[in-house]
Amino acid sequence: MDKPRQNIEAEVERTLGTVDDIQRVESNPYLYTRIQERMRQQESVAVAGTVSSWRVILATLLFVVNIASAYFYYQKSVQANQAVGIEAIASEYGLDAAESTWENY
Amino acid sequence: MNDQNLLTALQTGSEQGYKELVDTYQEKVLNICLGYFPVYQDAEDLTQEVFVKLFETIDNFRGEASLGTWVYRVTVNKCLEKLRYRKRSKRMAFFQSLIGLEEHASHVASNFDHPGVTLENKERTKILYQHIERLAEKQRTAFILSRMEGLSYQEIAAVMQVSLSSVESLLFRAKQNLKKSLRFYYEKQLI
Repeated sequence: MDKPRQNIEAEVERTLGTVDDIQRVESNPYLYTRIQERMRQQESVAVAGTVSSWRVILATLLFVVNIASAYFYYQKSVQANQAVGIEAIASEYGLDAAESTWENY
Repeated sequence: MNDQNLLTALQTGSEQGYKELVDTYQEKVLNICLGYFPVYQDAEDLTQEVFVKLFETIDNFRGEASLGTWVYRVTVNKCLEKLRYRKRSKRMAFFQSLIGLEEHASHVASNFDHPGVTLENKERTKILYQHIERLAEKQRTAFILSRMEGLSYQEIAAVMQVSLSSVESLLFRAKQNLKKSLRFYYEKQLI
């Protein structure tokens, strides 16, 4: 084996060997407190999320109720206008709109 | 407190149980996280996330494996989840850099800050980490659990839920691939 090749192999082995020199790291003594804090934050985010999703549901419900009542009101006024129109025509021609049937003619 | 008592304490939501779990496993979890992410702050954040996950999912633990194996498994899964997320972000950053929106995301190894590495070994260990990062997920996990955490093949098989022969094969391939990759790297240095 030539010298550069040997050098490369030696470098590879030395680099691979560094894994055995990595020392274990001690953890932060306040880790448990930090975890508790993180859990509290997550809970408050979850609660805020629940509150805001309830708000969205309520707003959607109000919107649907509003649209539905507007639609029913519109339908009612159209029917009322039609009834007034029929009565107006009947009185113009001297007919009783409520009692007139085809049998009378 | 033995494993069974600890598990009972955890499943009843005992504060003492939570504290005991953290005290027993925090160092192991942190060192595995450092195996995947050699940046102390990142590894510590991830350690916190692992324990939050452990507390949240303790009711799902059926006791098929030992408590230690379960802690290792959750840790590895959390690390892999984070790795995938980073890969996705890096890919996004790459596309953004192509259209001139953002600079290419920096490599994890460029922020290398492993407190367990001595100053004289820092450069060489950083090179090693850069090449470990290129390994496939399973090979990387087996390598970290075996060479950095010192787990036995049986323990690794239990954590990774694979057979003993798979662990042997994964470790063999990890070492071969690392050698190949490092050889290529040093050859390029010579040119």
